[in-house]
Amino acid sequence: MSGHHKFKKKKEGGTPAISTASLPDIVFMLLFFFMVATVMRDTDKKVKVFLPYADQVQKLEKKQLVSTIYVGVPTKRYQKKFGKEPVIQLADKFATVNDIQAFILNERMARREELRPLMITSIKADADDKMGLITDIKEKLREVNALKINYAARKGDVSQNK
Amino acid sequence: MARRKLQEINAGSMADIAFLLLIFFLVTTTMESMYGISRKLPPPPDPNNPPPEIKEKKRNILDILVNRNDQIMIEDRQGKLSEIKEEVLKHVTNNGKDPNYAENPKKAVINLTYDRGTSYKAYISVYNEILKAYNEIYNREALRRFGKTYDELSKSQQKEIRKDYPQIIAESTPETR
Repeated sequence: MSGHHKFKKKKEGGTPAISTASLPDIVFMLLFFFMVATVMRDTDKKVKVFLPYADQVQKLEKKQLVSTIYVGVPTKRYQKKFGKEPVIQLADKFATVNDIQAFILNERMARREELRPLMITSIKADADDKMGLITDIKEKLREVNALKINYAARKGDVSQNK
Repeated sequence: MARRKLQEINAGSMADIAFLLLIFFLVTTTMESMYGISRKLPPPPDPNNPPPEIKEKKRNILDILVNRNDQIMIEDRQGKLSEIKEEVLKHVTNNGKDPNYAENPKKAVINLTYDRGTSYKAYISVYNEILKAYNEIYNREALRRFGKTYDELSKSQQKEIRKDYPQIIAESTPETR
Protein backbone atom coordinates (compact mmCIF):
# COMPACT_ATOMS: atom_id res chain seq x y z
CA MET A 1 0.00 0.00 0.00
CA SER A 2 1.38 3.31 -0.92
CA GLY A 3 -0.32 5.23 1.90
CA HIS A 4 1.41 3.29 4.64
CA HIS A 5 4.98 4.33 4.23
CA LYS A 6 4.06 7.91 4.96
CA PHE A 7 3.70 7.08 8.61
CA LYS A 8 6.64 4.78 8.85
CA LYS A 9 9.09 5.96 11.42
CA LYS A 10 12.65 6.60 10.51
CA LYS A 11 14.70 3.76 11.74
CA GLU A 12 18.13 5.29 11.39
CA GLY A 13 19.90 7.36 14.11
CA GLY A 14 19.03 6.60 17.76
CA THR A 15 17.83 9.61 19.74
CA PRO A 16 17.37 12.83 17.83
CA ALA A 17 19.48 15.79 18.92
CA ILE A 18 17.72 18.08 21.38
CA SER A 19 16.82 21.33 19.76
CA THR A 20 18.78 24.20 21.24
CA ALA A 21 16.77 26.81 19.42
CA SER A 22 15.04 27.94 22.63
CA LEU A 23 18.24 28.10 24.64
CA PRO A 24 18.89 31.78 23.92
CA ASP A 25 15.39 32.60 25.07
CA ILE A 26 15.84 30.75 28.32
CA VAL A 27 19.18 32.36 28.99
CA PHE A 28 17.83 35.79 28.15
CA MET A 29 15.00 35.22 30.56
CA LEU A 30 17.49 34.39 33.31
CA LEU A 31 19.53 37.40 32.32
CA PHE A 32 16.57 39.75 32.62
CA PHE A 33 15.67 38.24 35.96
CA PHE A 34 19.12 38.97 37.32
CA MET A 35 19.20 42.44 35.82
CA VAL A 36 15.95 43.33 37.54
CA ALA A 37 16.36 41.53 40.86
CA THR A 38 19.90 42.53 41.72
CA VAL A 39 21.82 45.72 42.23
CA MET A 40 25.35 46.59 41.23
CA ARG A 41 27.98 45.85 43.80
CA ASP A 42 28.94 49.38 44.71
CA THR A 43 32.18 49.16 46.57
CA ASP A 44 34.63 46.48 47.38
CA LYS A 45 35.17 46.15 51.04
CA LYS A 46 38.63 46.82 52.31
CA VAL A 47 37.72 46.34 55.94
CA LYS A 48 36.42 43.25 57.66
CA VAL A 49 32.81 43.74 58.68
CA PHE A 50 30.95 41.07 60.56
CA LEU A 51 27.64 42.68 61.41
CA PRO A 52 26.12 42.21 64.86
CA TYR A 53 22.85 40.34 65.24
CA ALA A 54 19.58 42.09 66.03
CA ASP A 55 15.93 41.20 65.58
CA GLN A 56 14.19 44.57 65.77
CA VAL A 57 15.39 45.39 62.28
CA GLN A 58 13.77 47.00 59.28
CA LYS A 59 14.54 46.45 55.66
CA LEU A 60 16.16 49.32 53.82
CA GLU A 61 14.11 49.65 50.67
CA LYS A 62 15.43 52.61 48.72
CA LYS A 63 19.01 51.73 48.05
CA GLN A 64 19.65 54.86 46.02
CA LEU A 65 19.08 56.94 49.15
CA VAL A 66 21.63 55.09 51.23
CA SER A 67 25.23 56.13 51.77
CA THR A 68 27.33 53.61 53.58
CA ILE A 69 30.09 54.04 56.11
CA TYR A 70 32.10 50.91 56.75
CA VAL A 71 33.93 50.52 60.04
CA GLY A 72 36.24 47.64 60.74
CA VAL A 73 39.73 46.24 60.83
CA PRO A 74 41.52 46.46 57.45
CA THR A 75 41.63 43.18 55.59
CA LYS A 76 44.90 41.23 55.52
CA ARG A 77 46.42 42.83 52.47
CA TYR A 78 45.90 46.35 53.82
CA GLN A 79 47.05 45.68 57.36
CA LYS A 80 50.69 46.51 56.70
CA LYS A 81 49.81 49.99 55.59
CA PHE A 82 46.78 50.76 57.70
CA GLY A 83 47.33 48.73 60.84
CA LYS A 84 45.10 46.36 62.74
CA GLU A 85 42.90 48.86 64.50
CA PRO A 86 39.36 49.54 63.25
CA VAL A 87 39.25 52.22 60.56
CA ILE A 88 36.61 53.89 58.43
CA GLN A 89 36.05 53.16 54.77
CA LEU A 90 34.13 55.66 52.68
CA ALA A 91 33.26 54.66 49.12
CA ASP A 92 36.44 52.88 48.02
CA LYS A 93 38.92 54.65 50.26
CA PHE A 94 40.23 54.44 53.77
CA ALA A 95 39.33 57.55 55.69
CA THR A 96 39.26 59.18 59.10
CA VAL A 97 36.36 60.70 61.01
CA ASN A 98 37.33 64.09 59.61
CA ASP A 99 36.53 62.94 56.06
CA ILE A 100 32.97 61.99 56.89
CA GLN A 101 31.42 65.39 56.48
CA ALA A 102 32.94 65.94 53.03
CA PHE A 103 31.74 62.48 52.07
CA ILE A 104 28.18 63.18 53.19
CA LEU A 105 28.10 66.53 51.39
CA ASN A 106 29.36 64.81 48.26
CA GLU A 107 26.70 62.15 48.52
CA ARG A 108 24.11 64.86 48.93
CA MET A 109 25.25 66.71 45.83
CA ALA A 110 25.01 63.52 43.83
CA ARG A 111 21.28 63.27 44.45
CA ARG A 112 18.34 65.25 43.22
CA GLU A 113 17.26 68.00 45.55
CA GLU A 114 13.93 66.49 46.53
CA LEU A 115 15.62 63.28 47.58
CA ARG A 116 18.19 64.89 49.83
CA PRO A 117 16.08 65.12 53.00
CA LEU A 118 15.27 61.43 52.67
CA MET A 119 18.85 60.24 52.61
CA ILE A 120 19.94 57.62 55.09
CA THR A 121 23.44 56.91 56.32
CA SER A 122 24.00 53.25 56.91
CA ILE A 123 26.67 52.42 59.43
CA LYS A 124 28.08 49.03 58.66
CA ALA A 125 30.31 48.37 61.60
CA ASP A 126 31.97 45.20 62.75
CA ALA A 127 30.46 43.65 65.88
CA ASP A 128 33.78 43.93 67.70
CA ASP A 129 34.36 47.63 67.06
CA LYS A 130 34.46 49.95 70.02
CA MET A 131 31.78 52.57 70.60
CA GLY A 132 34.33 55.40 70.79
CA LEU A 133 34.79 55.43 67.03
CA ILE A 134 31.07 54.94 66.37
CA THR A 135 30.22 57.86 68.68
CA ASP A 136 32.70 60.08 66.86
CA ILE A 137 31.07 59.16 63.55
CA LYS A 138 27.63 59.93 64.93
CA GLU A 139 28.80 63.32 66.20
CA LYS A 140 30.18 64.19 62.76
CA LEU A 141 26.91 63.14 61.12
CA ARG A 142 24.94 65.28 63.53
CA GLU A 143 27.04 68.31 62.68
CA VAL A 144 26.14 68.07 58.98
CA ASN A 145 22.52 67.30 59.76
CA ALA A 146 22.65 63.78 58.40
CA LEU A 147 20.35 62.59 61.13
CA LYS A 148 18.76 59.53 59.61
CA ILE A 149 21.00 56.62 60.34
CA ASN A 150 20.73 52.90 60.16
CA TYR A 151 22.86 50.48 62.12
CA ALA A 152 23.25 47.59 59.72
CA ALA A 153 22.62 44.29 61.41
CA ARG A 154 22.14 40.65 60.66
CA LYS A 155 18.72 39.21 61.38
CA GLY A 156 19.06 37.05 64.45
CA ASP A 157 18.77 36.89 68.18
CA VAL A 158 21.04 39.18 70.19
CA SER A 159 22.26 36.23 72.23
CA GLN A 160 24.34 35.34 69.16
CA ASN A 161 26.44 38.45 69.71
CA LYS A 162 29.22 36.67 71.47
CA MET B 1 19.66 41.21 -12.39
CA ALA B 2 19.49 38.27 -10.17
CA ARG B 3 18.86 39.35 -6.64
CA ARG B 4 20.84 37.55 -4.03
CA LYS B 5 18.74 35.62 -1.63
CA LEU B 6 18.59 37.25 1.79
CA GLN B 7 20.80 35.23 4.03
CA GLU B 8 19.48 34.26 7.40
CA ILE B 9 21.56 35.47 10.33
CA ASN B 10 23.09 32.64 12.20
CA ALA B 11 21.60 32.68 15.66
CA GLY B 12 23.70 29.85 16.96
CA SER B 13 25.97 32.12 18.95
CA MET B 14 23.08 33.99 20.54
CA ALA B 15 23.03 31.62 23.49
CA ASP B 16 26.73 32.15 24.07
CA ILE B 17 26.38 35.89 24.04
CA ALA B 18 23.46 35.75 26.44
CA PHE B 19 25.38 33.42 28.73
CA LEU B 20 28.27 35.81 28.74
CA LEU B 21 26.02 38.68 29.76
CA LEU B 22 24.33 36.52 32.35
CA ILE B 23 27.62 35.59 33.95
CA PHE B 24 28.70 39.22 33.92
CA PHE B 25 25.58 40.20 35.84
CA LEU B 26 25.94 37.30 38.24
CA VAL B 27 29.42 38.44 39.15
CA THR B 28 28.97 42.20 39.34
CA THR B 29 25.68 42.42 41.18
CA THR B 30 24.47 41.48 44.61
CA MET B 31 21.09 40.48 45.83
CA GLU B 32 21.71 40.99 49.53
CA SER B 33 18.98 42.96 51.17
CA MET B 34 19.97 45.44 53.79
CA TYR B 35 18.56 45.16 57.25
CA GLY B 36 19.26 47.35 60.20
CA ILE B 37 18.07 49.38 63.12
CA SER B 38 16.86 52.76 61.86
CA ARG B 39 17.26 55.71 64.18
CA LYS B 40 17.16 59.44 64.07
CA LEU B 41 19.99 61.34 65.69
CA PRO B 42 19.20 64.43 67.74
CA PRO B 43 19.82 67.65 65.79
CA PRO B 44 23.19 69.34 66.33
CA PRO B 45 23.37 71.57 69.39
CA ASP B 46 22.88 75.23 68.60
CA PRO B 47 25.70 77.25 70.25
CA ASN B 48 23.55 80.39 70.58
CA ASN B 49 20.63 78.52 71.90
CA PRO B 50 21.67 75.68 74.17
CA PRO B 51 18.93 73.19 74.98
CA PRO B 52 17.38 73.74 78.38
CA GLU B 53 18.64 71.46 81.06
CA ILE B 54 15.92 68.93 81.50
CA LYS B 55 15.16 68.42 85.12
CA GLU B 56 13.27 65.20 85.11
CA LYS B 57 12.29 63.46 88.27
CA LYS B 58 14.49 60.55 89.15
CA ARG B 59 11.62 58.12 88.90
CA ASN B 60 11.02 59.02 85.25
CA ILE B 61 14.52 58.09 84.19
CA LEU B 62 15.59 54.52 83.69
CA ASP B 63 19.38 54.38 83.75
CA ILE B 64 21.05 51.69 81.72
CA LEU B 65 24.80 51.65 81.74
CA VAL B 66 27.13 49.47 79.68
CA ASN B 67 30.75 49.62 80.77
CA ARG B 68 33.91 48.92 78.81
CA ASN B 69 33.74 45.26 79.69
CA ASP B 70 30.22 45.11 78.28
CA GLN B 71 28.74 44.60 81.73
CA ILE B 72 25.30 46.03 82.21
CA MET B 73 23.90 48.10 85.07
CA ILE B 74 20.19 48.77 85.29
CA GLU B 75 19.45 51.61 87.68
CA ASP B 76 21.94 50.88 90.45
CA ARG B 77 22.35 47.17 90.26
CA GLN B 78 24.12 44.81 87.93
CA GLY B 79 21.78 43.43 85.33
CA LYS B 80 21.62 41.06 82.42
CA LEU B 81 20.81 41.75 78.80
CA SER B 82 17.71 39.60 79.04
CA GLU B 83 16.31 41.76 81.85
CA ILE B 84 16.35 44.99 79.90
CA LYS B 85 13.17 44.36 77.95
CA GLU B 86 11.14 43.66 81.10
CA GLU B 87 12.58 46.67 82.87
CA VAL B 88 11.77 49.00 79.99
CA LEU B 89 8.27 47.55 79.70
CA LYS B 90 7.68 48.03 83.39
CA HIS B 91 9.11 51.53 83.30
CA VAL B 92 7.13 52.79 80.32
CA THR B 93 3.81 51.18 81.14
CA ASN B 94 3.99 51.88 84.85
CA ASN B 95 1.59 54.84 84.78
CA GLY B 96 2.48 55.91 88.28
CA LYS B 97 1.75 52.66 90.08
CA ASP B 98 5.23 51.83 91.31
CA PRO B 99 6.99 54.89 92.80
CA ASN B 100 10.33 53.75 91.36
CA TYR B 101 9.16 53.78 87.75
CA ALA B 102 7.80 56.43 85.42
CA GLU B 103 4.72 58.50 86.07
CA ASN B 104 3.42 58.06 82.55
CA PRO B 105 4.69 56.82 79.17
CA LYS B 106 5.20 60.32 77.79
CA LYS B 107 7.58 61.18 80.59
CA ALA B 108 9.47 57.89 80.58
CA VAL B 109 13.09 58.45 79.61
CA ILE B 110 15.63 55.74 78.94
CA ASN B 111 19.08 57.02 79.73
CA LEU B 112 21.63 54.84 77.98
CA THR B 113 25.22 55.43 79.00
CA TYR B 114 28.18 53.61 77.54
CA ASP B 115 31.92 53.86 77.52
CA ARG B 116 34.14 54.59 74.53
CA GLY B 117 35.47 51.10 75.08
CA THR B 118 32.08 49.40 75.01
CA SER B 119 31.83 47.04 72.08
CA TYR B 120 29.48 47.82 69.23
CA LYS B 121 27.70 44.50 69.54
CA ALA B 122 26.92 45.17 73.21
CA TYR B 123 25.50 48.54 72.27
CA ILE B 124 23.39 47.06 69.46
CA SER B 125 22.20 44.27 71.75
CA VAL B 126 21.07 46.69 74.46
CA TYR B 127 19.47 49.01 71.93
CA ASN B 128 17.72 46.07 70.34
CA GLU B 129 16.25 45.04 73.67
CA ILE B 130 14.97 48.55 74.37
CA LEU B 131 13.33 48.67 70.95
CA LYS B 132 11.90 45.22 71.52
CA ALA B 133 10.11 46.50 74.60
CA TYR B 134 8.70 49.47 72.70
CA ASN B 135 7.62 47.30 69.78
CA GLU B 136 5.84 45.02 72.19
CA ILE B 137 4.01 48.00 73.69
CA TYR B 138 3.07 49.19 70.19
CA ASN B 139 1.69 45.81 69.29
CA ARG B 140 -0.22 45.58 72.53
CA GLU B 141 -1.75 49.01 72.00
CA ALA B 142 -2.55 48.25 68.37
CA LEU B 143 -4.43 45.12 69.38
CA ARG B 144 -6.24 46.91 72.17
CA ARG B 145 -7.28 49.93 70.13
CA PHE B 146 -7.73 48.57 66.64
CA GLY B 147 -7.68 44.80 66.99
CA LYS B 148 -4.78 44.48 64.59
CA THR B 149 -1.04 44.11 64.87
CA TYR B 150 1.02 47.26 64.66
CA ASP B 151 2.35 46.42 61.20
CA GLU B 152 -1.18 46.15 59.81
CA LEU B 153 -2.19 49.62 60.95
CA SER B 154 -2.32 52.64 58.70
CA LYS B 155 0.39 55.28 58.95
CA SER B 156 -1.82 57.67 60.93
CA GLN B 157 -2.89 54.96 63.36
CA GLN B 158 0.75 54.06 63.93
CA LYS B 159 1.54 57.69 64.50
CA GLU B 160 -1.23 57.94 67.07
CA ILE B 161 0.26 55.12 69.08
CA ARG B 162 3.78 56.41 68.74
CA LYS B 163 2.66 59.79 70.01
CA ASP B 164 1.36 58.25 73.21
CA TYR B 165 4.49 56.18 73.67
CA PRO B 166 7.36 58.34 72.43
CA GLN B 167 10.71 56.65 72.48
CA ILE B 168 12.81 58.99 74.54
CA ILE B 169 16.20 57.39 74.55
CA ALA B 170 19.04 59.61 75.68
CA GLU B 171 22.55 58.45 74.93
CA SER B 172 25.73 59.67 76.49
CA THR B 173 29.36 58.72 76.72
CA PRO B 174 31.48 59.93 79.58
CA GLU B 175 34.60 61.55 78.19
CA THR B 176 37.12 59.02 79.34
CA ARG B 177 39.80 57.97 76.97
